[in-house]
Amino acid sequence: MAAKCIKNEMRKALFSKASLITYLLSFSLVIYHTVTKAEIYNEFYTAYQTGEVQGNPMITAVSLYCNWLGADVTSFATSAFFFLFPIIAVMPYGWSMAGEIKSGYTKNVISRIPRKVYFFSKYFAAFVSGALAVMIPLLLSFLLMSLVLPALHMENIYPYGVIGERSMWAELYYSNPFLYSMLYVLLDGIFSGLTACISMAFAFFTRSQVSVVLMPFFLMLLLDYIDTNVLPGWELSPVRFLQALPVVNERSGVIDLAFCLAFAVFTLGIILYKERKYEAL
Amino acid sequence: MRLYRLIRYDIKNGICSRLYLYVPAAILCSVFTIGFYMSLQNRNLENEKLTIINILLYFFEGKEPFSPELGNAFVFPVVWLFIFLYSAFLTLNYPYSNLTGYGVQVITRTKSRKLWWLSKCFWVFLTTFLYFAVWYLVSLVLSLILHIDLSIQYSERICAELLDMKLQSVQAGSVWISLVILPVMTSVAVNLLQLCLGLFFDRIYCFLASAVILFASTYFQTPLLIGNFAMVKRSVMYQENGMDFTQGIIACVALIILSIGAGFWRIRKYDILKKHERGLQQEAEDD
Repeated sequence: MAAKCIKNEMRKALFSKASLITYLLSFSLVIYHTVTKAEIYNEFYTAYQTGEVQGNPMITAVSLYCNWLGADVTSFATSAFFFLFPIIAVMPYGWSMAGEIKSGYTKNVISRIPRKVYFFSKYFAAFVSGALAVMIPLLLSFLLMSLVLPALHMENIYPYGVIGERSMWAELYYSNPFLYSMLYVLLDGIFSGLTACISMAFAFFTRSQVSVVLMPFFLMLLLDYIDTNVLPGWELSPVRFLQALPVVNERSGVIDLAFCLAFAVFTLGIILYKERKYEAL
Repeated sequence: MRLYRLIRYDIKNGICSRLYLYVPAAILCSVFTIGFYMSLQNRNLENEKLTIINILLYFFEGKEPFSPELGNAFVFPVVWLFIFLYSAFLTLNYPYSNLTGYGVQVITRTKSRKLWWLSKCFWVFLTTFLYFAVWYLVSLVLSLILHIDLSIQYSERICAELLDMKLQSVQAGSVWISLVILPVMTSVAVNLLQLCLGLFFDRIYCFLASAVILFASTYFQTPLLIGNFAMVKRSVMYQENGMDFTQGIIACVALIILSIGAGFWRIRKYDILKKHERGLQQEAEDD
């Protein structure tokens, strides 16, 4: 029964109109970013070949590893993608719990199958859909950019594309940047999945679907404000620490893990509580 | 008379019964004001004469023109975005839930879709004004509590050290325009555009459009992105080639007229019954 319920939820999560629109929006950002970067690289390459570039050409500035969507912290597309990631993660399926409670679908389902199965299937579907909504555009960007840009290893002597010694996975960034990039895609995916689950958990407290979708977005903005104004030093805002290169401060693995755990405990805690106490009627 | 009744209905249902939505705005304003006040102590600026204008400059400073050079990461102005996005959120739900619920009855009885649309536009005006009134009022009250000067002057040192802002020429008129008139007008224009888009797309996509416009305004300095006019750091007060106030007012008025006009055109052909059926269940529970 559980497998059937999960399959049903996954089908609803992955093949909905909202999912399609979310992917179209993300892909348009990816394509805009790839085209602008390809143009810049083309100009650079032409100048490099004709000998117009004098002195050190700083060739690693056009490396794939500091120019794909997850790491290009100077570009509009990257900044916009991470600014909007709480909405991108929630839009495919994070809102569904609110919709189903409101429409009465939940009552019909939990009178037929155990509440635990239903809630955890929804949780799983929301997590996967949120994670994929962020991971797929990032992977697509990495693949498209690798068609255009050279995959040069980064060097720490230049004032761009560098991360500090204290920063999370710093050694890996210089020794194996591909693995570093993929780990960041995975981290972003996990965090986005949890963001979609936050939205699902909020559905038990508010009846407004719009509020459920936008709650994680405003929460992330609030965390960004705290990061900017109250607790400087380490990157505390998910909007910033999910970007593969530092925005303002160094990244700490402990902080990332703490956020993941806090979000997981909060969302799972609510689901576990509601699984026992939820009153459908 | 019919319009007056519709507006009265919207004030009652769209403002008075949703006053709780203004509480987070008041809390946010308090947090931002107190946060700014505390940062004076951290920078040893407690002896500087802080005025309410400094606080308003902090709210509406926005982002200095950004050049995407190597190694220069983009940091968006979170306070500025918070203020405008919460305003967009406030005006997002009510018109849609009204149109898919009781609004159909209202349109049938008044026999005019145009009046319904006009009353909703007026409601957006009122909601935005009220929202900004809450911001100004809370900062005023906190200024009184924290003994912050209420004069039109401001501390240049606080601006330079905390906001990284050196204003060029400041007259009382410029201060009013850049800190009160243009932010409110820009917000009204964005919210009306969002309201108009709501007749074409789902609410979340309309909010997404507002978020993208406002975010893009912080990244690109161009008069085409209306958010630029509501940022002090993009204005002529901050930079020589900055955004002109008159141009800003004209752009806001043009967008407001365009949104209202497009809404008029759309509402004539809008299938309210289909939407009504779909939204019937939502209406009872939304708001």
